[in-house]
Amino acid sequence: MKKTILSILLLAGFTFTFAQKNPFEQFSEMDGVTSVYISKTMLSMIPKNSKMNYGGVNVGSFLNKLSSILILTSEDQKIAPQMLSMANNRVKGRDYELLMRVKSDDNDNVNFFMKGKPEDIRELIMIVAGNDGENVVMQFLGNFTLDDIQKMTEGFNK
Amino acid sequence: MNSNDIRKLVEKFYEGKTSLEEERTLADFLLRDNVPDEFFPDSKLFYALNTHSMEVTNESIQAIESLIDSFKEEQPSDKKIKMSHAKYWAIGVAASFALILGVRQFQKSQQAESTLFTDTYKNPDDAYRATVEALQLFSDNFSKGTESVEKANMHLEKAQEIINQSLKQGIEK
Repeated sequence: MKKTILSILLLAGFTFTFAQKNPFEQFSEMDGVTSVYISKTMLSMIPKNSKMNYGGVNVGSFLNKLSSILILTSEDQKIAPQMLSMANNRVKGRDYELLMRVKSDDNDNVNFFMKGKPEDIRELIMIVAGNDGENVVMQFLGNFTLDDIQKMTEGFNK
Repeated sequence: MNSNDIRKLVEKFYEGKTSLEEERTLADFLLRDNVPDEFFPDSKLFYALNTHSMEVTNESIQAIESLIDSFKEEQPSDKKIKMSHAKYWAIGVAASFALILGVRQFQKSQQAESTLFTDTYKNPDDAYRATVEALQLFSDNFSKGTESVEKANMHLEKAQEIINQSLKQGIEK
């Protein structure tokens, strides 16, 4: 009984420690990495009179559906590949689905992954493996649909 | 354990399928000094997680053990199991202890998250500019993919038109 109670206590502590961790956290404080994090609170504080209209699409409605934006950029020869490897490891889980793979004219490899269903996306990750050695990882957390993303991107490209 | 096994364990870990034993094996490997470059990001993660791990002092473990031992010492004398006041008290203390540890651990994990992930911008205008730039970059890349699909569709439609026309001409002749 003693062992059981001790194991439960320790197991609870161990799993608690491992819960709610975003693996990208470690890169946000690293030298050689430019990181930008925008929380839901900050997104909600964006002035209402900002020019939110792009190509006839109100981007504000998309922003309202986001809970955070994280952008990591690195061209450090050692850190940039590690960042890429961590991002690729994260999306290897069965919760993630490859949305699109693009090879640009500049020979950049861009992969888009989503977590959730097209009508209920919880996380969207864009991983850019730059031809010039600059890698970018962009993570959008929230609750939105594939249609929201398409409308937003169409607006920006009009 | 070779790199292949570790790689498999790491994948399993990110999928949340590792057992406690496997997580210990991973921690043993990744918290060493000479971790291969391939596992460097994972090692960093384990280091970060390890610094916030629960600290249970020897005194605390002894206190819990002695409390649990006291459960054993009292055997039911009657057929009906009667719990003495002492036993209730001991269970109460053990439960409170566990609750305090749990709350402290929760606070620690919350603190760790908030200190590491703080807003880059204090000014909403700057945040808005950065957000728009991020969405623009995202859209540029996203549209490269969707445009290619549209072009491919257009080519397919054209090809289909040509085939249809050729078929029509063939029939008319």
